[in-house]
This record gives sequence, C-alpha cells and structure tokens, in this order.
Amino acid sequence: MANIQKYFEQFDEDIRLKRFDENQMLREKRDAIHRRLREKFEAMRRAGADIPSFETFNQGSYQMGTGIQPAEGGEYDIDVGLRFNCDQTKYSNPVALKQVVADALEGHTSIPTRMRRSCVTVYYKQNGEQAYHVDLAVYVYAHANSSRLVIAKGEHGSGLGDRKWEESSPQELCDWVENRFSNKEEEAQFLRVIRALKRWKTEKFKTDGQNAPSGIGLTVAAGQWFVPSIKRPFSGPIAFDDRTAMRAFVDRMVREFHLAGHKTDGSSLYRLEVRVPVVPHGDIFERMTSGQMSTFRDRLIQLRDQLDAVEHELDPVDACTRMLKEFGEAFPVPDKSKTGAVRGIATTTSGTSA
Amino acid sequence: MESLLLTDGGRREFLRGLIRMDGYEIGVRVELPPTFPLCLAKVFIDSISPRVERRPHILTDGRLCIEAESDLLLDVHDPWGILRETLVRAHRLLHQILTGDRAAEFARELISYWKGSPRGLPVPCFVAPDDRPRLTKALYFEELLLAVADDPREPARFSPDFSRLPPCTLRNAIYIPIDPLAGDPAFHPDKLATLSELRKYVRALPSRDGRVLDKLLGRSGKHSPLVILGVRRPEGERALVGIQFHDTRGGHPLAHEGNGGSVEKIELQRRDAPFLASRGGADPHLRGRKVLLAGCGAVGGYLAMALARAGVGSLTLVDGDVFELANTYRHVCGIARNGMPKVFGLRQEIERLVPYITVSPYQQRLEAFLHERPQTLDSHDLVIAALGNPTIELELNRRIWSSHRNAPALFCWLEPLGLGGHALLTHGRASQSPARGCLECLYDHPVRGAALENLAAFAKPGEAYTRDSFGCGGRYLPFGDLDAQNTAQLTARLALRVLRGEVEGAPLQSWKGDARAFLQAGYEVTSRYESQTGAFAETLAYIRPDCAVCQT
Ligand SMILES: [Zn+2]
Repeated sequence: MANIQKYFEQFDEDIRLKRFDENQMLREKRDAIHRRLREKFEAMRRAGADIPSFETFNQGSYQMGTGIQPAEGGEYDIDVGLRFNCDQTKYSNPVALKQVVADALEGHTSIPTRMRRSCVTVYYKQNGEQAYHVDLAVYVYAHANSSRLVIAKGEHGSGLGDRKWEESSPQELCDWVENRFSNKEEEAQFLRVIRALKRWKTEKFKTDGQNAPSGIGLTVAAGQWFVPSIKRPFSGPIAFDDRTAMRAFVDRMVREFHLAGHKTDGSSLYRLEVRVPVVPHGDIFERMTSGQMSTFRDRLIQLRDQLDAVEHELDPVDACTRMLKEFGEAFPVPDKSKTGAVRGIATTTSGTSA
Repeated sequence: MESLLLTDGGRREFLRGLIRMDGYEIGVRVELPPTFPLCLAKVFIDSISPRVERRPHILTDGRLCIEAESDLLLDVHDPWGILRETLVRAHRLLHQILTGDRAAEFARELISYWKGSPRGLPVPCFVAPDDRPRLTKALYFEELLLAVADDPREPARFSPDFSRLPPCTLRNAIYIPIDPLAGDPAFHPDKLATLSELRKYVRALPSRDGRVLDKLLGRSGKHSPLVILGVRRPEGERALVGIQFHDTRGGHPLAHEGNGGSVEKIELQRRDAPFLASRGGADPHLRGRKVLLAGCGAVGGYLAMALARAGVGSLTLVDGDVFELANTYRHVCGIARNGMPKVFGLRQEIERLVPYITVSPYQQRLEAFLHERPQTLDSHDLVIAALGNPTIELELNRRIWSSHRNAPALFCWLEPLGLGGHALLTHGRASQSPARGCLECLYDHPVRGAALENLAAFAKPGEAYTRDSFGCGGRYLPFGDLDAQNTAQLTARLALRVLRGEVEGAPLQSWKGDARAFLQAGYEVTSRYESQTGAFAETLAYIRPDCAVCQT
C-alpha cells in the first residue's frame, strides 16, 4: 500500500477540535451561559424563589479530546455539566429543575432554548444561521453528604417513568477515557481513530442521523477494545499505523455483535452491548433499536472491507479516494502528480547497491 | 676539512680523525651526504689498529652500519646535533664491535654476509624453516637452480612467471637446521661456506636429528647436492641460506669425512607464506580460513582483494555477471578484465597480486549456486554478501539461520551518491547459540501493507535513486569508487575480526559520508543519517525481538 498515514493525520488535523482549555470560543460560550444563569438565579432568589447554587464543569467530547468539527451543514455541539448543590429529594420531578434552567436561558440567544431528554439545549447563530448549540446536562447529588451525582432525565410530555433522576458519573467517564493510555503516542492514536470514526458515522448516517450510534458510544467501545498500532524502529521517527489500528478496532466491534433475533423478512438482527465502565454501568447503546444496530453493523462491515481494500491499493491517490468514500470530503486525496510514479508494496526500490 | 676526489669527477668533503677506545686506535672518516641533514652523517672505518679480522656491522667499503635510519626522526633545524649524535651512535657501535659478542652479531647479520655470490640474483625459496632435518625440493632448468620449495607446485602458484617456464627438473635438497652459536663462540658466516667447518656444525646436531640426517644424506641424488641451512639466530628464529656443492667426490660431502667437493654460497629470497604474511602485515593464521564471497562488483572486488591481502587462504567467488566497460572506474580490476566473467577476472587479478591464496570462481547467481551446493554455507568460515540485492540477501539470511552449523554471514551495501555504507554481521558466535540480530531485523513495513524499508538507510526509502544509462535494464545507483572502497574496508575489517573470533554479537556498522551531492540532487536523508554524529557508527539497537528469522 501506499503509506497513507500522513493523509490520515492531515484529515485529523482538519476535523479535530481543541479541548476546552485550548479553545477560547468554547470557553466564552460556557462562561457566558454560566454568567447568565448566575444572574437570572440571583434575580429569582431576590424575588423569593428557592434555587440552589451551582457550578459548571466540562464534560463530553471536548473534555475527552474526541471533539470534531461538524461536517458540512452540521453544528458544533458543546457539552457542559450543571451541578446544583442539593440532593434529588429537593426536586422529585427532574424536569422541574431543567425547566428552571431553560427559563433562565430563554432569550439568551435569538433561537429558543429547547429541553431534550438528557439536557437543555441553547442554540447559537453565526452569520445569521444556526451554527452550534450547547447541551447543558443538569445534575444534583444522589444523597445529602454524597459526592455521587444523578442526572435529570425527561422532558415535557415524558411519561412519569421517563422523568427520573438517573445515576451518572460524567467526570469519572471523562477520566476513564483520558486515562486509557498513559503513553502519549498511544493516546494520540486512540483519539485520532475515535475522531475519525465519529466523522465516519456523521457521513454514513447523514440522511438518517437519528439512527447513528452516539459519539460517546464509539468512544466507550474504543476505550474497551482499541489496540494501538505503533512501531518504534531503532532509527527514525515513531511510525503510526492508524489505518491498521482502526481496522482492528472496527473488526473487533463487528465480532462483538451478537444475534438478537430476526426481522419479519427473515434477515438477522444484531446487537452490540458496551458496558459503561462507570456507574451506572449500563449499556451505552441501550437506546438503539436492533434495527438501528444491524444497520450500524452493516456499515462497520463495509468500513472494515474498505480499510482492507485501502491496504492493498498501490497508489496513494486510489487509497485516499477509498478513504474519502468512508470519511467524507475532508479526507485529503493527493494530486496524481505529487505522488509520482506508483510503487509497489511487494516490489519497491531498495536504494542499495554494492 | 679534507676532500675526496670521486670517480665521477665530483668532490665530497669529509672529516677525518682518530678515535682511541678499548685499546684500539681507529681511523674514522665522517662524510656529510648531499642530502644531510635529512639523513645521518656517514661514518667510515678506514683502519683499526691492532688489526681485527672479522668485524660485524662494517661493510666492505668500511661504512659503519649505524642503526637503520628509517625509524629515526631527525630535527633538521639542528644539523650540529645530528652530526654529534651520529658520532655518539658510531662510538657506541664500535665499542660493541670491539668488545661484544661478535659471533652473535654475525649470526644476526648472516644474510648480509651471504650476499655477493657470483650468481647474481637470489634464488626464490619456498621453504618454511623448522627444527628438524628433512628433504625439500629444488627446481632446476638444466643446471640452473630456479627455486627451492617444500611443495614444488608453490613456485608456479606464487608467480605466473613460473608457470610459463619449460618443464623443470625436480631434485631432492636437504634442509638442515643448525645452531652455530651453541658450540662456537667464534662463529663467522664464512665458516658455513667451508666444508670442514660446516661439518662441525652439522655434527653438533642432537643425535636423533643426526641419525635422520644420515639417512637423508644417503638418499640425495648424484647431482650436485643442495643444502638449505636454517641458521638459528640469537633471537631464536632461523635465517635461510643455501649451499650448492660442486665437484663432489664420493657421496654427499656432508655424509662422510672422506667425501669432498667445493662449496658455493646460494643467496635465498624467502617467499614462504608465513614469512611474507608477517612481513607484509597479513595474518599467517588466516591462511587456513575459507571465505565465500557472493557479489564481485565494486564493493565485492575491493573486499576480495582486501581479504586476500590480509592473508585469507581460500576465497570462493560467486557472481554471474561479466565485466563491462561501465565497471572501469569503480572496480578493483579497472579495465583489465573487460568482457570476462567477473569471478574469473577477479581471480586473475588476485592471483597476479597476492600469493598463497586459492580462489574458486563460480560464474552463477547465488540462488543457483546455493541450490546446487546446499552444504556450502556450512563448509566456509564466513559468508559475505555484497550483491546490492536485498531480496537475495534476505533469502541468504534466512538460509544462514536455517541451521546452527552454518557460517556467520556479513552483509554489506552502499547508499547512493556517497551518503555512506553499511555492514551487518549475523549468525556470529555467541556464548551459546548464534547471537540474535540479522538482516531481516532491518527490514520492516512502516505501516501494515506498506512496502518494506531498510531501517538503517541514510537515503529516504521509497525513492528511486537509480539512474538510466541509455538502454534497457541499464539502471545503476550512482556512487563513486571511494564509496565502494570505504564500504569494502568497513566490511573487510569486520570480516577479519570475525575470522579471528574477536566479534561477539551481531553488530550493524555504518559509515556516514558527505550528503552534499545527494541533497543537491534534490533527495532527502533519513533521520538516522541526521542523528548520526560521527562518520562511523556501530549498533545492536536494530535487533527486533519479533524478528521472524533470528528470534525463533
Ligand atoms: Zn533478525
């Protein structure tokens, strides 16, 4: 194969987003929301409302280092945690607390704030168009004198069973992802492959986004099964092989699916179960239907086969073109002229003489 | 200051004076050669009174042999000092001549007193002196003595001149080791050329050797008998001189008191392998070693010659190619063997220049050679590949590792445009099994599915460095003769250390050249080239714990 590692890294360079600490725009949005809530709550308290104090904390892909630029037409998605200093007995209906947050932010931007099942979402415009949104997850403490958190689940119209405080360990999950690999090269490859797979699922589920596996689902799966592929030759730089590492991980996921039944047309249904490594240890893909899961599996198989085909392409142009089909237009394809003559895998130039 | 009228009409100035020492009065003449002070002054002994008959270190023209000048460093800014110290040295030597052990000095200088025989040229001698009387052979053309040799085939092998001679007659000669100093405090070389005196030294042999000699004397032919004397010097080793008996009466003149004959001094020129090797800086012990060299191109050519000159006794050459004019400027054979198969041309060139080596040429590709002779890797002491073809070299590497009995192997190769060269030893001796590390360790895919790369490379892999030479199949890697010599030298040094059992492990050695020409051609170097600080590097770091060849 033409060695496409440098194109892989170029692709990552183009799609990756910096973490909170390095990303001023993210910090500003987060801090503006924080100020807005603080001011609103203060005013409400002066009017006699009983609203507990809160802190914000970073969670989600930006914190883990798996954040990517939205694909063409997509939106930035910022995750912020709101931790209220009370226990769950104060709000028997978690939607009530989410409503307080949503109300406080109403009018913060020109687009109405929306309450969703696991968060409150604030939308932002850029150049007159909706450009990104901030998902605010609302947490309280599970018990008085406990440091364990519960997250507010449910929205207006949710059945009673869907409105609940659910055990959650957002920071522990971040820590788990961040500490998967202590070696910095291995961690870098781990994160590059996750980011690429997140872009891949955005591309592959462009028309049916609601059926896509979540980014955090891919991240946790990678945390379980990713094996780095890095060579350290006795001379020269470290050689990353992201394609091989990704291929192995995708293959592992495919093999982890199990038969879960049959569709009415007789075709098989599969499920992939990935246990969250922190409390509450649920299946990260539990909300996906078996039909969605089976589609996910089919597309993983396509990806694996495409990665195999890439391995056997002689010309980097052809190899990158295959990658582009899976990962979208952001994957760079070199000019024919730049790659020069096509050289073999098994028949290369030796550069030696005697 | 006096002056001397020279025979050619010139004049030379000299100082004349008298030295009194040790009860002698010595007339001394000191002459400054025209090249003085680049050399010592010449000191001549004109007279010694009272007369001393046999005086070592004084040549026939009276010149005193002050120490050999070649290992002196003269301070030309101090000519007076040089002159003064010349006289001090002369004084010291005279004292030694007049009072010291003259017999020992004569034994030491024997060869120089054996000169001046009327025959003119010394006779080539292929006799290795030892401590027992024995027969050796003399080669005659009619009555002309051409050579003496323990093995009569050696003169022809030594020099092509001998092989062109008409058939020679082979006669027995007798080698006799003598120790004249043991019983004669008044030894002088002239005594060896006197039949009666010579008999005394021969009779002084230990009785066992005497009995052996008596038998040999009885067997020597009717023709004028030849004796080679191995004369023991004070330091223990033996000098060789010859004696040809003429006009013999009775049997061998040394066999019986009653036999007679006249004596002719024969000056011998030693050409035996141990003598030449040790005098020429070669290692006599390497004569028994067998090296297989695959690839007789630029590097292989120099390598073969270097090993021959180091004293390796047996070389097997394998190469299927024929010398072409394109090889002219970077092959040890130059233009001399154009059109010949490389193995035969190289053999001729080696045999033309170096004696005592057996070169076995095989004009075929290494793969074919190994296929026909599967035992060959076991029957050599070292295998060297200078093929410039990593595919075949990796195959050789695998074959070498297929049996623990196989010889160590050395791989060497060149980088383009003077960037450097490398030598890798594998399958060498380690304390238990062959030391880990092999050519396979060096070749790896940077990413899965990518092409193999040589991890030692100085030139960025994947680039085509060969140039087109106006024709189909005529691509070549640009490098110069000195690059080939450098790589050959690196490899040869490592090879000799391997043959002497001095190398542990499987080192990779690299020499780093100047990158200017390479960079000017628009190419890129590897980080290994950049990170190497000196011109030379040796490493074991290349060894891969997961190597499929050497770690199984
Ligand atoms: Zn190896």
